[in-house]
Amino acid sequence: MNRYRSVKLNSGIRPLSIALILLLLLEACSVIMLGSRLVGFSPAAKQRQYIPLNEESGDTHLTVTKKPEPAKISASQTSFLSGGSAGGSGTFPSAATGFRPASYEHGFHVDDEEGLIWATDTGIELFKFSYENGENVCTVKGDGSKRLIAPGTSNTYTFTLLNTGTCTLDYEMTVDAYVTGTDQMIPINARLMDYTGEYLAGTADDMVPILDVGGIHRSGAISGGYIADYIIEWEWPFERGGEAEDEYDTFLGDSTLENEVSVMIVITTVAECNIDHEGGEPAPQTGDDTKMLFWLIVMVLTFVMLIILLSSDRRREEDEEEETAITAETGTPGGP
Amino acid sequence: MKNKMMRIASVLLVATLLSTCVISGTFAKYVTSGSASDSARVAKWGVRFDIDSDMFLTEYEYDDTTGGFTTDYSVQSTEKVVAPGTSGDAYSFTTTGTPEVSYIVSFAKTADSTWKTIYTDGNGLGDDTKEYYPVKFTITFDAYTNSGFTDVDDLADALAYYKYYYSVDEETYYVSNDGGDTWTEATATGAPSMNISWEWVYSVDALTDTYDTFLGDVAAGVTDGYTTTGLTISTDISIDITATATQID
Repeated sequence: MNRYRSVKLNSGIRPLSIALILLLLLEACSVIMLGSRLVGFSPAAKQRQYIPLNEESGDTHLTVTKKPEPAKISASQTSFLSGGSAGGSGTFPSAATGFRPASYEHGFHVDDEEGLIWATDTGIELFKFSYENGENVCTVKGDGSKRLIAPGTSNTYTFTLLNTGTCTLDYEMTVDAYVTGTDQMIPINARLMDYTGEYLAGTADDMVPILDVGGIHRSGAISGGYIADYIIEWEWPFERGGEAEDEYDTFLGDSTLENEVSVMIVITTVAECNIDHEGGEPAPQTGDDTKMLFWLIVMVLTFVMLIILLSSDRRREEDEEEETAITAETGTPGGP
Repeated sequence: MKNKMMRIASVLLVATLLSTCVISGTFAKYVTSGSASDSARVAKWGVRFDIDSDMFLTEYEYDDTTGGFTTDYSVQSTEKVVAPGTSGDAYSFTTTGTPEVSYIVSFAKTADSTWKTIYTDGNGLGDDTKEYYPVKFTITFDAYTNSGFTDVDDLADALAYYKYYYSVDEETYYVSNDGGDTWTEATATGAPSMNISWEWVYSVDALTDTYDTFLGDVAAGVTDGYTTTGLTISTDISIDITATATQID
């Protein structure tokens, strides 16, 4: 009878021992990895790395128009970079306090000619509240609650992607366009040009319907200290042809009295350090995405092991209870 | 022994999970995103003209109380007519709406307007070849008044000089009587109105009474006693005027 009990005990201890060993190994690996990463980000490591400002090569050729020196970054930019840059490290040299990973200066933001720095869903002045003609006569103006468009209006908006850090950035820029309030065509044309003079939408001579600008997607890379300009232009031609076009414009102006007809442009940029970029700086070893599957498997395994242990333990308790009951009936431990 | 190992295993499991989170979270990639958007609404238009174009009537009330007559109407017909002693407002233009764009309003004759009565000596109507236009028009535009137009073409030409525009930023109307060369702020509150009135004077003198009688007879088809050969006589009058509001570019 005792033999029976010892067999059940050993079958519970064996997987438990395996799980313990496995978990100990994993924990050791985690601690070692954590320590190695911290050592890699030490100030001493930073001093050994020289990050040149080099012109980007590859699919995207940047026109160097400005090479911002970190020391000349304005106070507002510094504030943004250290506090508002999503995912950024806040490592600008001018940020005198706080933890500085230091060896990699990730600084990226988008601003426009007015100095407006984009955050999340930043309202920009692609459209205006009022417009003037060439004789400084106000031609369009609302009550100030909505930006307006009308025949004869146009505007140009320039936004700049700035890599103010030293880490080469891969970025993606997308443009979306929407028209609400009507399923009819809005006679607004637009074009989008990048810093090289290449038109992503439209041409130098022609614009395309503004909805065609939506869906534009551009990927590229910016070396540290470099910028990339994008220019978006739009216009609603005052004269588009004949009376039919005038009547259609008038129809839109009248119909918005009852049901607002609007156009919307959304521009999104995402930038991240490119650790493998040729010619770029050796960006920090960040993230752990390459091993995430491994960690997930380990998590699943440990969960499974734990469940096995719990179920075997419960089974043992049931056996013990059963054995106790038999012993009580027969007076002999372990049953017949 | 079993419970102790279970506790150790559980603690290690939690520690491993935490370590995993630390490694994957603390060293997240540097990713900066920004987004910007802007939207605009089509500017409101909604300019409309409130036009009163009952230029001529089929009947005109008798309003002379000095004669002691009991008739209600001095003129009555199945058609719109004019006669000596009648008058009316030809057109009245007023813009409505609150557009969000500046616009200019101009007036023009859009159809062939006729009002010609030509007759010559030989009918006891005078010594010389004479054109006679008994209906006289008056233009009243904001603070301007211009009267004495007898030829519809002259009236139409004069109308082309009157314009007004709406300055959307000032919310002010400006008027011009010289075709837009000079502008002055409108005196009226709101949109300026353009009125065209007419009048056929009841009696000027004995000669015009003769002319008026002649026109009435011709309209009635009674031409005996008159020499109408070679004359171009029209007893119809019509005017088509269009006001146009155009957005300022």
